[in-house]
Amino acid sequence: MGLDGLVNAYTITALDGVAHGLLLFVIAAGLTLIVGVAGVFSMAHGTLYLAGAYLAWHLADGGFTGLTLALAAAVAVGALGGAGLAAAVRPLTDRPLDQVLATLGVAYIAADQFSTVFGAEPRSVDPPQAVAGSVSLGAFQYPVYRLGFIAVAAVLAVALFWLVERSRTGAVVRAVVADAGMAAAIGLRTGIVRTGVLVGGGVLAVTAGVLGAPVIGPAPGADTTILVYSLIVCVVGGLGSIRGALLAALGVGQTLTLGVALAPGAAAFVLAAAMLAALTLRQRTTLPGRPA
Amino acid sequence: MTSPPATRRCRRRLSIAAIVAAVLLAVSGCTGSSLGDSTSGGDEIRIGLIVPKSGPYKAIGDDQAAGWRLALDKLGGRLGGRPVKVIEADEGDGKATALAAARKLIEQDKVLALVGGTTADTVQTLYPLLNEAKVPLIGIGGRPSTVDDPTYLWSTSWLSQETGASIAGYLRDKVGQGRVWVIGPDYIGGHDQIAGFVDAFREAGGQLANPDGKPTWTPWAPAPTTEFSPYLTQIKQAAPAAVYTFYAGASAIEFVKQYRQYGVDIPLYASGFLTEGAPLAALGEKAKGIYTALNYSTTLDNAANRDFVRRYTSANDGKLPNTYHVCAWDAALVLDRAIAEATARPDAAPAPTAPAGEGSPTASAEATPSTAPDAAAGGLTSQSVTAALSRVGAIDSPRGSWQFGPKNHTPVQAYYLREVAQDGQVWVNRTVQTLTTLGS
Repeated sequence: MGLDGLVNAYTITALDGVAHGLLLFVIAAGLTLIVGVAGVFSMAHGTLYLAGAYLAWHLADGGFTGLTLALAAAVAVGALGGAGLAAAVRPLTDRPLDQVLATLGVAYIAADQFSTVFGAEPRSVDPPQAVAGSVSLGAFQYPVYRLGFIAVAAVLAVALFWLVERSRTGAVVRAVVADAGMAAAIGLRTGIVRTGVLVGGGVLAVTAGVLGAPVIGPAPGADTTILVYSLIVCVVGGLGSIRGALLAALGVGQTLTLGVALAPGAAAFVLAAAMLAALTLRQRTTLPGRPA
Repeated sequence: MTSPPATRRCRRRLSIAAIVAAVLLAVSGCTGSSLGDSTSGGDEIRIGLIVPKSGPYKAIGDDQAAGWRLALDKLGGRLGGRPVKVIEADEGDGKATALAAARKLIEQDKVLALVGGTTADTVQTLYPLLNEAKVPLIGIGGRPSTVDDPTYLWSTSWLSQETGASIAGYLRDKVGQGRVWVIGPDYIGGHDQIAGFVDAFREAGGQLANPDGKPTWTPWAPAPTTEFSPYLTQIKQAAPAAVYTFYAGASAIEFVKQYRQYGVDIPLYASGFLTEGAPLAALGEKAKGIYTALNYSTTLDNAANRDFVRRYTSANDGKLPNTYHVCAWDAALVLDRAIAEATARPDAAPAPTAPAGEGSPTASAEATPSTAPDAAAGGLTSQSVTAALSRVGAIDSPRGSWQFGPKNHTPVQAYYLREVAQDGQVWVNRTVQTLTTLGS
């Protein structure tokens, strides 16, 4: 059977890499725009993911109602969180290190609040029962929810790509990435664009938290994990580039799955090497925010 | 379109992002605050409790503090007949936070003894300070294998290697000629846990199913692995007779969840931490049928455990205690005995009752000259308590009776084989049998 020939340990692992990569993309796409466009070094990005994951845990009821409620709440929480961050760093424009400190402070306070409100124990989030099982792929089993997640995240990726690379709104955003001064001079309201990007990035991160909770569950420390991977994706993909973020996220996803299967022990090194290579090579390109 | 300043700014942003990522790669976790004030009064003694109140181990720290308080309540708020003031401090994620907290407790609050230490990191960081200040630490959590002078270090918990070693012989008999796949997290605690199993398993004639005959390590840096599917797929394909693992906390939840999702239907054996406390509560039925080894199970049938479980459940909405509660509870029992002993016989030489002849020469050498009674403190000093710790004898613990080993000052205790099973509404680690007695 053709399917059996296609399904082996490596293709299953590669499929996981895609699921993992797309999850990282949905999270990191927001951050790359926040840093690249709004010029805000948000260390609270993992916190937003964790907020979404706790929402999913809190509202989970074993069905799609809970998931829908959590997604609706995610939009509200993400928008509020993004707007709050925009307000918090407003006095710190062009002081990137102060922004790092301020948002890191926000992240610590939030982490403390999370463990007070939701408890310090790691939590397990189950997807809606209809998609909680596994399907057989040849000799292997694969969780249904992950297949669904790949589909949803792929749609999100296409929508984001269209929004940023093809739409008028995206053109404005890209103009601010390329040259904020020139954009302002031709009459674009860069302040509003920046706030909008923070709000949009916040919504994306919290939504990713809700959808990703069954894959990377809510636990103290999950925010740092997510932040580290998001920053790696941003650095490797280039700031402000959706295309770069997608490629980098898929690359990181494969490194964490296929990479550890093929070359155990080298995965962490490969991620650090990719960042170094991106930084070294990026110096030679003229267009900021585009992968070389 | 692009002007040089914009490019430069972008590069600067990129560099900052990279620097921050690099820093986070190296340091993950945060610091917390310590609290507590010091007032002295009468014959009250002060004990410093140092457990994580922030960071990734907070859940364990909460359990430990609860176990300690429960025991102190049972003892009527007195240790060795003396009223106790407990001063709590935050261990954070180990190193710097724990050291600052311990220093404050010793130097400012002048505590008689310290209780706590969740991670082996903390114990490793604190123990030079203990030797310098001559204040004992009753360790209730991870214990590093690298401490060579445990004069002031007495642990009520375990040595990380013991858990794996205790189940190795049983599993060897179980699988016969079959091979076992071993997988664990790539950090010092994980290596200790896994090596304990692998060494004893090989000694018993067992063979690993891993391709190169060595355990599979899952990355712990830049962040703990959350994606176990590549390993699980390999395991499924290799079809070993059994899998042995050690994970704790969030990693334990993800590992077991994915083990089920990816349809790995190979018997799963593990160090007890895989299904202890929070992971078991989160996993529930998904953990069904996992066999683990640990020094405690809530279903142990002895009088001390029945009393302990009853006290804990009635104070906590029917929730069940775990080994972290027990080790902290025992720390109070140990100090109760040691303080009573030090008050009664302040001049006695340390370690006369040590079972084996090895003893701890350093302990006697350091402690003997300094046990002269201090009239104001009623003869009770950190050093007389330390000397008395070697004379506390058998502790009537919920895990069964145990006593300190003469070499490492860790419990000589029984390890139990436990199976995750349903007990009424809740999932528990049901005791199957006693595996072996270990400790030194």
